[in-house]
Amino acid sequence: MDPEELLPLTPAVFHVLLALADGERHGYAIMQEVAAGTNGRIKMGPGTLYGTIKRLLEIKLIEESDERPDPKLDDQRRRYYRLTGLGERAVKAEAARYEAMVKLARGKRLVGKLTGVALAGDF
Amino acid sequence: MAAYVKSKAVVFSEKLYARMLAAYPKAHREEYGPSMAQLFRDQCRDAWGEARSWALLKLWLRVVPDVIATSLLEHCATLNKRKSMFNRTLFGRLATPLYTFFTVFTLVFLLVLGASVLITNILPESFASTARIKVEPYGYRTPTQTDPQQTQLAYDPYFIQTEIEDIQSEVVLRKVVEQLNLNQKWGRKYGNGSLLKTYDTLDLLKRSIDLRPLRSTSLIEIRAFSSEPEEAAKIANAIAEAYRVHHLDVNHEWTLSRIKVLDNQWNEQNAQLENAQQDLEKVRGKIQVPTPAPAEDELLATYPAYAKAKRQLDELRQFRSVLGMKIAQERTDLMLPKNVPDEIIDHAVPNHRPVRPNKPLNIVLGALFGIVLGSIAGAGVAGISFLRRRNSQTKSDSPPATGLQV
Repeated sequence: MDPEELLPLTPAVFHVLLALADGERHGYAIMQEVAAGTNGRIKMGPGTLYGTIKRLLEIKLIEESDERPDPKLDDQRRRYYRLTGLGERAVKAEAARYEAMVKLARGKRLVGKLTGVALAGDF
Repeated sequence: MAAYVKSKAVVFSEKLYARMLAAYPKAHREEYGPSMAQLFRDQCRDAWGEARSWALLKLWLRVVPDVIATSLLEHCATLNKRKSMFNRTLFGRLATPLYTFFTVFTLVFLLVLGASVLITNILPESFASTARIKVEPYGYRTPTQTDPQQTQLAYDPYFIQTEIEDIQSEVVLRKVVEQLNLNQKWGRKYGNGSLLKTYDTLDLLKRSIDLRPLRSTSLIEIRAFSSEPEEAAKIANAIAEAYRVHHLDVNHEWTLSRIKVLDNQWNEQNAQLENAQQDLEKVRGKIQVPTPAPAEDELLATYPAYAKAKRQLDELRQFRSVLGMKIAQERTDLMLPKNVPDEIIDHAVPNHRPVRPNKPLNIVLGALFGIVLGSIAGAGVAGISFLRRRNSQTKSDSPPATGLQV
């Protein structure tokens, strides 16, 4: 499938894919990564996070890796997720789309230098 | 990581959230419920560590709307999935077109049936009355082969048909119009109160009667239609009577004309007879025939010229005698016709049951027409719907382009 066909991604999807771009993570780690990546402005609830994960699994943008306990947390087994090839291409395509939009906005002097402000809005 | 001691608030929150998971569809709950509960526990732990109860409250303020929104979303997704799966089954593929077919069929059927019932009830009622008349042929009578004294009428294969046309003739119907005063009566009914012209009334009258022969009989059925049962009966009876009188008149005229011809012949014959008498007297004086005249044989031998003239006179007298008998017979026929007069077998009586519109027939025809039209319309709409669904389903089978709504 052409990842371009999936664009534009919703903010929640994009943030989850971004969070998994560095490697496989479990749900709590994804949530933490999203919160860290947006300076704490976006904190995904369990419903939103697992709803997003469910849909991403259905269209095979992410896949589940083997369950294992996270030694840093409690001893319960956690489910880990990682990007698929399609997911990686999709998040890159979406990032490129945002980049083009930012360039366009910058050309119109609507934004200054890039800051660490999150691109996405509220959920 | 060091173990932390859970407060009652955290324990309560975890339990409450676990119960709130019941808001999600069963499949989603079974698949992701434990992970969601675990994530919530992690968030509770972080919140408690961050600012205790205050942070826990803020967490709840985020989680409650999250649960409401996402549980609704999951239910919608589950319903859509079920619908999609149902539509992929054979029954599912057929169910919607069948439903469409029966919906359209029912609507069209009821519409047509309702219209036919409405029209049938709106249409003005028409009543019929029937009179039957027995018609007898008239005209030249010829002696029969077996008995020359008996006469018979020549066979006419078109007799009944001719009489039917005769009944519808202006001569007969005009009498009916006059007798029933139809110009005035129908003028009030059809002519906005003004008097109708006779030819208009005749046209209406012709269209409101139906004549038919009864097979293997010399009977003709006169059927009249009207919006009033009494009027229909009057018209049928008046036509039958007018035709009967007309037939008698024609027969009478026919006999009178024959008598007139015979009278003329009688007069001519008298003149010839007179001349023959005078000729005979002249011959007698000329050849001196004695009085009384001799016998026939002697007369013929002695006075042949006189005998010849006498024979001619006798023949003329004989012919005049036959002519006189014929005239007498025709005069008797005039008073007592040999032909049997036409007879009205059945007089029309008012029939209060309308014949038009035929309500049961109209409704049955309306129902049949509704079935046909409903089937065509239903099949058409269902077919189009099926094709559209198939096309859209083919599209939806491919992965969604932007279907990642969360």
